[in-house]
Order: sequence, then structure tokens, then C-alpha cells
Amino acid sequence: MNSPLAWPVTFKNNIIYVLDETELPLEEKYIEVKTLDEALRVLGQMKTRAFGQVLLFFYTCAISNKIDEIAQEFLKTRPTFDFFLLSRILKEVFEKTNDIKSAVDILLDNFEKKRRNRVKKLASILPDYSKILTICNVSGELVYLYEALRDIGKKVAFYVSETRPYLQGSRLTFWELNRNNIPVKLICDNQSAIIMEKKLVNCIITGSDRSTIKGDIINKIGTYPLAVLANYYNIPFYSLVQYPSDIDVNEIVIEERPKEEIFMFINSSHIYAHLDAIYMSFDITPSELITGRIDMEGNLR
Amino acid sequence: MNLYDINPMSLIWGYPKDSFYKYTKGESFFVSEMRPSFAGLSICQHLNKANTAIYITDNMLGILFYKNKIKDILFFYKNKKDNLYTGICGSLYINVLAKTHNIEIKFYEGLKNEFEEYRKISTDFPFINYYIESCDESFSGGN
Repeated sequence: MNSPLAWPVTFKNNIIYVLDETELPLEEKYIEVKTLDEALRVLGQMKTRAFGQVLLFFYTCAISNKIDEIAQEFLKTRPTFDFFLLSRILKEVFEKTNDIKSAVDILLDNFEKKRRNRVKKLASILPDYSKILTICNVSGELVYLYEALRDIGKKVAFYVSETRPYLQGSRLTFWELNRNNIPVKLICDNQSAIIMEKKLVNCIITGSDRSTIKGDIINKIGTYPLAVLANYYNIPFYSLVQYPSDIDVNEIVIEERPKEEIFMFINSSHIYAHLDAIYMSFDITPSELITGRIDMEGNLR
Repeated sequence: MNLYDINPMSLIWGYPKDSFYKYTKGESFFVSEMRPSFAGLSICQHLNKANTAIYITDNMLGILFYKNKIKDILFFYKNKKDNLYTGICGSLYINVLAKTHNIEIKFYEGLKNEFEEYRKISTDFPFINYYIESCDESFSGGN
């Protein structure tokens, strides 16, 4: 079992190869990135996101031989994600190696192992027949989760919320689960309430782009209503988080993207270009709605 | 347009009757996309002639509630029987979110056969599936 989304950005001979997630599932195409400007372009155009943007950041630091300057530029392009946190993590290793490329290698060496380990931890607390609702895409970790559940004899079925407007749920998560023959059904974002009411799901699992030590998360738009509904229907809500930071969640900038992107996956989208629209990329889920968070070290809180 | 600059507004859910557009000229609304039918696109085209309409996708409703941007819900139901309203796909989603955020839901009779009515004004997007969802009067608590 595998998913190209588990490691969507690679680095070889000083060239970064970025899986173009906007072309999936129709085409598995990689974009070559050799400069900071090219990296910022693929980042801004949503060619990669989530774990992909973490990898892109580290590799761009490696080709540019800079760290803080890269974090500053990445932050201008995607203001919600904490690139300065990644910068601090990288600099800690760099102080020991004195070489950015070596520091990146060391840092990423254990990442896949850590991600597999934390889903094993999650699998251990999920029901014997886990009916999981998710949103957006957790960069391949749901495939790992399926394997972890299967290995301990638990049954699993996924429901994926389509995640408008970029449809990452439909185009990425549904695709990566389906191609591995993992049981999965696709729903419209607004159908999550009815499937919870009908008890078709018994847990919610999401990723998170940001998290705080207090336990709040910021994740793809549509995560917060899932948590509210899960709370209402008494269904546990778990989030796979990266590196929690000591910050008030309401101080984090929520990225607003161009309104045209709302209509881009609709046929004849130009017809609707005159409509007023807003596109908030992320929402905030307060800690009191979250049953558990599992960080990169496998700690469940 | 920035979310923080927008004052609280009513949100339209479901298919209003034609008379709604006559009596609400000049008013401002959020219009949700209402997947899978994309009802919101048709409604925006109607409203934009004389109203301010801001289009959002359904999964953006959460942050609008969270940021207190939704004044009330104008819920256009398909059928009412006793205390039970039936509406389009996602009706339960909007009703539970409104209830949990203590936002008033105003129930109005909407179009019975919205597909036929709306085909007259918008024909270029596909109707994929259609679901009817029910919710009872307990959702109308609000403020």
C-alpha cells in the first residue's frame, strides 16, 4: 500500500520535485523547483500543501542555504502556516551539523517512522469497527492508519468530506484510499450531519495546519463544523497535529484566498466570476471540541 | 472582500419562492453553495439584480458562525408535516450549526419542485444526487 501524497515533495541533485496536487487524480505530475521564486509560485498556487509544504520549506532552505529568510517569504505566501516554527526546528539541528542540507536529511530521516508510529497509537484507541469521517487530506497518513487498524484486527471504513472549493477530499483522500482498495465513501461537506445522525460514522479524524499548546487547532475550512457536529452527536474527534506552539489561536492570521478559486472546479466557472464571494482557507477549532490530539512524537493529549 | 469587514447578515438556505426576491430588494445575504445541486449559484444570480449577495461554500458556514457573521437563517423548506420540516441536502447541517450557535432559524415555505423552477434560469451545471433531510421545530429556538 502506498500513497504518493505521503511524501509529495522530494529532493535530488539540488532539484526539488513537487507533486502537483491540483492535477490529481487525473495526472501524477511533478514540477521541478530550482529557485526560491519557483518554490513560492508552486506554494502560492496550491500545487502542494500540508506535509508537502513542510518538505518544500526544508528543501528550499537546502538549495538557498538560508533559513529565516525562506521562512519569511513562505509566510508571506501562506500566512496561516507557522514556517518560523519549522525554521527554529531546522536551526536547532543546523547548529550541530553546520550544514543545512545535512540538517534537513537528519530532520526528515525519522519523519515517516514517526508518522507511522503515531497512527499506530491512534489505531489502538479507535473502535473495533472504525467508521471514520475525515476532511481534506492528511498527506498519506490515513493509508498508514488503515494498515495499523488492519494489523491489529480492526475493521475500518472511511467517509470523506469533499472539501470545497479545492476538493482535496474528493481529489486526494478519496483517490488515495480508493486506489489502495480501502473502503471509502465520498460525501458533500454538508452531509456530515446526516451521516452522524444516522450513526454511519463513529469517529472523526483530521489533520491540522496549526495547533496550540492549549489544544486549539487550525485546519482546512470545514473542520470546525465537523467538530461542532461531532460534539452535538457525541462522536469522538481526533486530530493529527504537527508541532503545537504557545500562541493564542485568535492571533493567527486566517488566510483568505482569491474569490475566483471558489468557482474554479465548477463547469463554466467564468459565468459566475461577477458574483461576490469570500474564501477563508482555514477555520479554528477550540480545544473543548477535540477529544484527542496526537503529535509527531506520538503523544496523545 | 475580507470577512472581518462584513457585518452580520441573514443566510439563505433552500429554494425561495419568486415572491421572496420581490420583497427583499436592497437587502444583503450570505448564500451558501448548497451542494450537490449548487442551488446557491442560481439564487445569487436572482439576488444580484437588486441585492448584495455573498457566495460561500457550505464548509465555510462554520467560521461564519464562529465569527458571529450570521444574523439569522432564512430556511426555505420543501414540506412541513406536524412539527417536521424537510429541506434540501444539508438541511440538518445548517440547522444543527444554527442551534449550537444560538442563531434564530426562520422557516418559510420554499419551492416544491426546485429543479424544474430553477432550470429556467440556470441550466449549465449538473445535478448529481438529491437528498431530502428532516429537522424538527426544536431547531427554531434561536435568540
